Amino acid sequence: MSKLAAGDIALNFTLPATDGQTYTLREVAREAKAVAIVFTCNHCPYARAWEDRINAIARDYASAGVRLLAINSNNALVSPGDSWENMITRARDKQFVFPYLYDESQDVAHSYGAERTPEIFIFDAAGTLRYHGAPDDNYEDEHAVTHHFVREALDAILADQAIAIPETKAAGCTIKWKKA
Amino acid sequence: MPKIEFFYWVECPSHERAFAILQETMAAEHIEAPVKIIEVKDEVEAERYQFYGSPTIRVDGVDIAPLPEDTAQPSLTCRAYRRADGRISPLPPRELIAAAFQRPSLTP
Repeated sequence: MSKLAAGDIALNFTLPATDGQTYTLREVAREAKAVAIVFTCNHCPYARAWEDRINAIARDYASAGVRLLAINSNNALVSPGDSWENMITRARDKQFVFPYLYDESQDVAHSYGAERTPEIFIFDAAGTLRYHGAPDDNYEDEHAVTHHFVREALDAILADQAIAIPETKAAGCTIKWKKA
Repeated sequence: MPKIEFFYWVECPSHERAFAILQETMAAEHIEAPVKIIEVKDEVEAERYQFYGSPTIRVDGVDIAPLPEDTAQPSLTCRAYRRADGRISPLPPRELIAAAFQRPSLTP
Protein backbone atom coordinates (compact mmCIF):
# COMPACT_ATOMS: atom_id res chain seq x y z
CA MET A 1 0.00 0.00 0.00
CA SER A 2 1.51 3.34 -1.01
CA LYS A 3 1.22 6.21 1.42
CA LEU A 4 0.77 9.86 0.58
CA ALA A 5 4.09 11.65 0.91
CA ALA A 6 5.01 15.23 1.66
CA GLY A 7 4.11 17.38 -1.31
CA ASP A 8 1.34 15.09 -2.54
CA ILE A 9 -2.07 16.57 -3.19
CA ALA A 10 -5.07 15.62 -1.05
CA LEU A 11 -7.28 12.94 -2.54
CA ASN A 12 -10.92 13.91 -2.63
CA PHE A 13 -13.57 11.80 -0.90
CA THR A 14 -17.17 11.97 0.17
CA LEU A 15 -18.21 10.24 3.38
CA PRO A 16 -21.17 10.23 5.77
CA ALA A 17 -20.72 11.64 9.26
CA THR A 18 -22.29 10.89 12.61
CA ASP A 19 -23.97 14.32 12.59
CA GLY A 20 -26.22 13.17 9.75
CA GLN A 21 -24.43 15.15 7.06
CA THR A 22 -22.22 14.04 4.20
CA TYR A 23 -18.84 15.69 3.77
CA THR A 24 -16.79 16.12 0.60
CA LEU A 25 -13.18 17.05 1.22
CA ARG A 26 -13.03 19.44 -1.73
CA GLU A 27 -15.93 21.43 -0.30
CA VAL A 28 -14.63 21.38 3.27
CA ALA A 29 -11.23 22.61 2.07
CA ARG A 30 -12.58 25.32 -0.23
CA GLU A 31 -12.04 28.22 2.16
CA ALA A 32 -9.86 26.52 4.74
CA LYS A 33 -6.34 27.64 5.58
CA ALA A 34 -5.49 24.02 6.39
CA VAL A 35 -7.28 20.70 6.69
CA ALA A 36 -6.30 17.98 9.14
CA ILE A 37 -7.51 14.47 8.35
CA VAL A 38 -7.34 12.15 11.34
CA PHE A 39 -7.74 8.42 10.86
CA THR A 40 -9.05 7.25 14.20
CA CYS A 41 -11.63 4.95 15.76
CA ASN A 42 -13.60 4.24 18.91
CA HIS A 43 -11.90 1.26 20.45
CA CYS A 44 -8.16 1.87 20.14
CA PRO A 45 -6.58 2.99 23.42
CA TYR A 46 -4.18 5.27 21.58
CA ALA A 47 -7.02 6.95 19.73
CA ARG A 48 -8.90 7.30 23.00
CA ALA A 49 -5.86 8.61 24.85
CA TRP A 50 -5.46 11.33 22.23
CA GLU A 51 -9.07 12.13 21.33
CA ASP A 52 -9.57 14.92 23.86
CA ARG A 53 -6.39 16.56 22.62
CA ILE A 54 -7.57 16.23 19.01
CA ASN A 55 -10.92 17.71 19.96
CA ALA A 56 -9.10 20.62 21.58
CA ILE A 57 -7.01 21.18 18.45
CA ALA A 58 -10.15 21.31 16.29
CA ARG A 59 -11.72 23.79 18.69
CA ASP A 60 -8.62 25.95 19.14
CA TYR A 61 -7.82 26.31 15.44
CA ALA A 62 -11.33 26.62 13.99
CA SER A 63 -11.31 30.41 14.14
CA ALA A 64 -7.99 30.43 12.27
CA GLY A 65 -9.60 28.64 9.35
CA VAL A 66 -8.42 25.10 10.10
CA ARG A 67 -10.87 22.29 9.48
CA LEU A 68 -10.45 18.85 11.01
CA LEU A 69 -12.11 15.69 9.75
CA ALA A 70 -11.89 12.42 11.65
CA ILE A 71 -12.34 9.17 9.74
CA ASN A 72 -13.02 5.71 11.10
CA SER A 73 -12.02 3.08 8.54
CA ASN A 74 -12.08 0.03 10.78
CA ASN A 75 -14.06 -3.02 9.77
CA ALA A 76 -16.77 -3.37 12.40
CA LEU A 77 -16.90 -7.12 11.90
CA VAL A 78 -13.32 -7.32 13.16
CA SER A 79 -13.77 -4.53 15.71
CA PRO A 80 -17.43 -4.27 16.79
CA GLY A 81 -16.69 -1.29 18.99
CA ASP A 82 -16.06 0.70 15.83
CA SER A 83 -19.50 0.20 14.29
CA TRP A 84 -21.49 3.10 12.85
CA GLU A 85 -23.85 3.00 15.83
CA ASN A 86 -20.97 3.13 18.27
CA MET A 87 -19.42 6.01 16.32
CA ILE A 88 -22.61 8.02 16.78
CA THR A 89 -22.60 7.28 20.50
CA ARG A 90 -18.94 8.17 20.89
CA ALA A 91 -19.21 11.43 18.96
CA ARG A 92 -22.13 12.44 21.15
CA ASP A 93 -20.61 11.33 24.46
CA LYS A 94 -17.24 12.93 23.75
CA GLN A 95 -18.82 16.04 22.24
CA PHE A 96 -16.66 15.97 19.15
CA VAL A 97 -16.51 19.41 17.56
CA PHE A 98 -15.35 17.91 14.25
CA PRO A 99 -17.20 15.72 11.75
CA TYR A 100 -16.68 12.03 12.49
CA LEU A 101 -16.80 10.21 9.16
CA TYR A 102 -17.31 6.55 8.37
CA ASP A 103 -15.13 5.01 5.67
CA GLU A 104 -17.02 1.75 5.55
CA SER A 105 -15.51 0.64 2.24
CA GLN A 106 -12.02 1.48 3.57
CA ASP A 107 -11.28 3.11 0.20
CA VAL A 108 -10.14 6.37 1.76
CA ALA A 109 -7.74 4.69 4.17
CA HIS A 110 -6.35 2.62 1.33
CA SER A 111 -5.94 5.62 -0.96
CA TYR A 112 -4.16 7.65 1.71
CA GLY A 113 -2.06 4.71 2.82
CA ALA A 114 -3.22 5.08 6.40
CA GLU A 115 -2.24 2.20 8.66
CA ARG A 116 -2.77 3.31 12.25
CA THR A 117 -5.22 4.99 14.56
CA PRO A 118 -4.61 7.76 15.15
CA GLU A 119 -2.72 8.83 12.03
CA ILE A 120 -2.89 12.43 10.86
CA PHE A 121 -2.45 14.06 7.45
CA ILE A 122 -2.38 17.87 7.33
CA PHE A 123 -2.85 19.73 4.08
CA ASP A 124 -2.32 23.44 3.45
CA ALA A 125 -4.70 25.75 1.62
CA ALA A 126 -3.37 24.52 -1.73
CA GLY A 127 -4.19 20.95 -0.74
CA THR A 128 -0.56 19.94 -0.38
CA LEU A 129 0.42 17.43 2.29
CA ARG A 130 2.58 19.25 4.82
CA TYR A 131 2.51 17.00 7.90
CA HIS A 132 1.97 13.31 8.48
CA GLY A 133 2.15 11.28 11.67
CA ALA A 134 1.21 11.38 15.34
CA PRO A 135 -0.65 14.13 17.23
CA ASP A 136 2.25 14.72 19.63
CA ASP A 137 5.10 12.82 21.24
CA ASN A 138 3.45 11.40 24.35
CA TYR A 139 0.25 9.34 24.25
CA GLU A 140 0.65 8.46 27.91
CA ASP A 141 0.73 11.87 29.51
CA GLU A 142 -0.39 15.05 27.82
CA HIS A 143 1.40 17.08 30.49
CA ALA A 144 4.71 15.50 29.51
CA VAL A 145 4.45 16.32 25.81
CA THR A 146 7.55 18.01 24.49
CA HIS A 147 6.51 18.33 20.84
CA HIS A 148 2.95 19.16 19.87
CA PHE A 149 3.48 17.99 16.30
CA VAL A 150 0.05 18.90 14.95
CA ARG A 151 -0.16 22.27 16.65
CA GLU A 152 3.37 23.12 15.56
CA ALA A 153 2.56 22.11 11.98
CA LEU A 154 -0.63 24.15 11.92
CA ASP A 155 1.13 27.17 13.40
CA ALA A 156 3.77 26.93 10.68
CA ILE A 157 1.21 26.58 7.89
CA LEU A 158 -0.81 29.52 9.18
CA ALA A 159 2.38 31.60 9.39
CA ASP A 160 3.44 30.48 5.90
CA GLN A 161 6.60 28.96 7.30
CA ALA A 162 8.37 25.64 6.91
CA ILE A 163 7.34 22.88 9.32
CA ALA A 164 10.20 21.87 11.58
CA ILE A 165 9.02 18.27 11.98
CA PRO A 166 6.93 17.37 8.92
CA GLU A 167 6.92 13.60 9.45
CA THR A 168 6.64 11.45 12.57
CA LYS A 169 5.82 7.84 13.25
CA ALA A 170 2.13 7.25 13.86
CA ALA A 171 1.92 5.33 17.14
CA GLY A 172 -1.31 3.46 17.52
CA CYS A 173 -3.43 0.46 16.66
CA THR A 174 -3.45 -0.99 13.19
CA ILE A 175 -6.48 -0.25 11.03
CA LYS A 176 -8.71 -3.31 11.07
CA TRP A 177 -9.02 -4.34 7.44
CA LYS A 178 -11.66 -6.47 5.86
CA LYS A 179 -10.51 -10.00 5.45
CA ALA A 180 -9.83 -11.00 1.87
CA MET B 1 5.62 -17.94 43.92
CA PRO B 2 2.99 -16.48 41.61
CA LYS B 3 2.77 -17.50 38.00
CA ILE B 4 3.07 -14.33 35.97
CA GLU B 5 2.36 -14.19 32.26
CA PHE B 6 2.81 -11.25 29.89
CA PHE B 7 1.06 -11.55 26.54
CA TYR B 8 1.68 -9.08 23.74
CA TRP B 9 1.09 -8.43 20.05
CA VAL B 10 4.05 -6.81 18.38
CA GLU B 11 1.90 -4.34 16.39
CA CYS B 12 0.86 -2.52 19.57
CA PRO B 13 3.72 -0.18 20.39
CA SER B 14 3.11 -0.06 24.13
CA HIS B 15 4.30 -3.56 25.01
CA GLU B 16 7.90 -2.65 25.84
CA ARG B 17 6.81 0.17 28.12
CA ALA B 18 4.13 -2.06 29.64
CA PHE B 19 6.68 -4.75 30.41
CA ALA B 20 8.88 -2.17 32.11
CA ILE B 21 5.91 -1.07 34.23
CA LEU B 22 5.28 -4.70 35.20
CA GLN B 23 8.90 -5.16 36.26
CA GLU B 24 8.95 -1.89 38.18
CA THR B 25 5.74 -2.79 39.99
CA MET B 26 7.05 -6.25 40.85
CA ALA B 27 10.15 -4.67 42.35
CA ALA B 28 8.06 -2.20 44.34
CA GLU B 29 5.86 -5.02 45.64
CA HIS B 30 8.87 -7.24 46.40
CA ILE B 31 7.65 -9.90 44.01
CA GLU B 32 10.43 -12.16 42.87
CA ALA B 33 9.18 -14.51 40.22
CA PRO B 34 9.93 -15.24 36.59
CA VAL B 35 7.68 -13.67 34.00
CA LYS B 36 6.64 -15.82 31.08
CA ILE B 37 6.59 -13.64 27.96
CA ILE B 38 4.26 -14.82 25.24
CA GLU B 39 4.07 -13.19 21.82
CA VAL B 40 0.66 -13.71 20.26
CA LYS B 41 1.25 -13.90 16.54
CA ASP B 42 -2.07 -14.63 14.87
CA GLU B 43 -5.79 -15.02 15.41
CA VAL B 44 -5.45 -18.74 16.10
CA GLU B 45 -3.10 -18.01 18.97
CA ALA B 46 -5.35 -15.19 20.16
CA GLU B 47 -8.17 -17.70 20.43
CA ARG B 48 -6.00 -20.31 22.09
CA TYR B 49 -4.73 -17.88 24.73
CA GLN B 50 -8.11 -16.10 25.05
CA PHE B 51 -6.19 -12.95 24.22
CA TYR B 52 -8.35 -9.82 24.09
CA GLY B 53 -5.67 -7.25 23.44
CA SER B 54 -2.07 -6.26 23.89
CA PRO B 55 -0.66 -6.13 26.46
CA THR B 56 -2.39 -8.62 28.74
CA ILE B 57 -0.98 -9.57 32.14
CA ARG B 58 -2.19 -12.55 34.14
CA VAL B 59 -1.22 -13.51 37.66
CA ASP B 60 -1.93 -17.13 38.46
CA GLY B 61 -4.05 -17.24 35.33
CA VAL B 62 -6.24 -14.30 36.34
CA ASP B 63 -6.25 -11.11 34.30
CA ILE B 64 -5.14 -8.04 36.24
CA ALA B 65 -8.12 -6.06 34.91
CA PRO B 66 -11.69 -6.60 33.77
CA LEU B 67 -12.04 -6.95 30.04
CA PRO B 68 -13.06 -3.76 28.18
CA GLU B 69 -16.81 -3.24 27.79
CA ASP B 70 -16.73 -3.55 24.01
CA THR B 71 -14.78 -6.80 24.00
CA ALA B 72 -16.33 -9.20 21.53
CA GLN B 73 -13.95 -12.05 20.90
CA PRO B 74 -10.28 -12.87 21.24
CA SER B 75 -8.34 -10.95 18.61
CA LEU B 76 -5.13 -9.23 17.67
CA THR B 77 -5.74 -5.73 18.88
CA CYS B 78 -4.46 -3.20 21.37
CA ARG B 79 -5.98 -3.19 24.81
CA ALA B 80 -7.49 -0.21 26.55
CA TYR B 81 -7.00 0.17 30.30
CA ARG B 82 -8.95 2.58 32.44
CA ARG B 83 -6.75 4.64 34.72
CA ALA B 84 -7.69 5.70 38.23
CA ASP B 85 -8.59 9.16 36.92
CA GLY B 86 -11.00 7.61 34.42
CA ARG B 87 -8.90 8.20 31.36
CA ILE B 88 -8.08 5.45 28.87
CA SER B 89 -4.52 4.31 28.34
CA PRO B 90 -2.76 1.63 26.28
CA LEU B 91 -0.66 0.91 29.36
CA PRO B 92 -1.72 -1.21 32.34
CA PRO B 93 -2.00 0.97 35.46
CA ARG B 94 0.48 0.16 38.19
CA GLU B 95 -2.25 -0.03 40.82
CA LEU B 96 -4.01 -2.82 38.93
CA ILE B 97 -0.81 -4.81 38.68
CA ALA B 98 -0.06 -4.26 42.35
CA ALA B 99 -3.60 -5.26 43.33
CA ALA B 100 -3.21 -8.51 41.41
CA PHE B 101 -0.25 -9.37 43.62
CA GLN B 102 -2.31 -8.66 46.74
CA ARG B 103 -5.09 -11.11 45.99
CA PRO B 104 -5.83 -13.41 48.93
CA SER B 105 -4.67 -16.51 47.10
CA LEU B 106 -1.22 -14.97 46.76
CA THR B 107 -0.80 -13.73 50.31
CA PRO B 108 0.45 -16.05 53.03
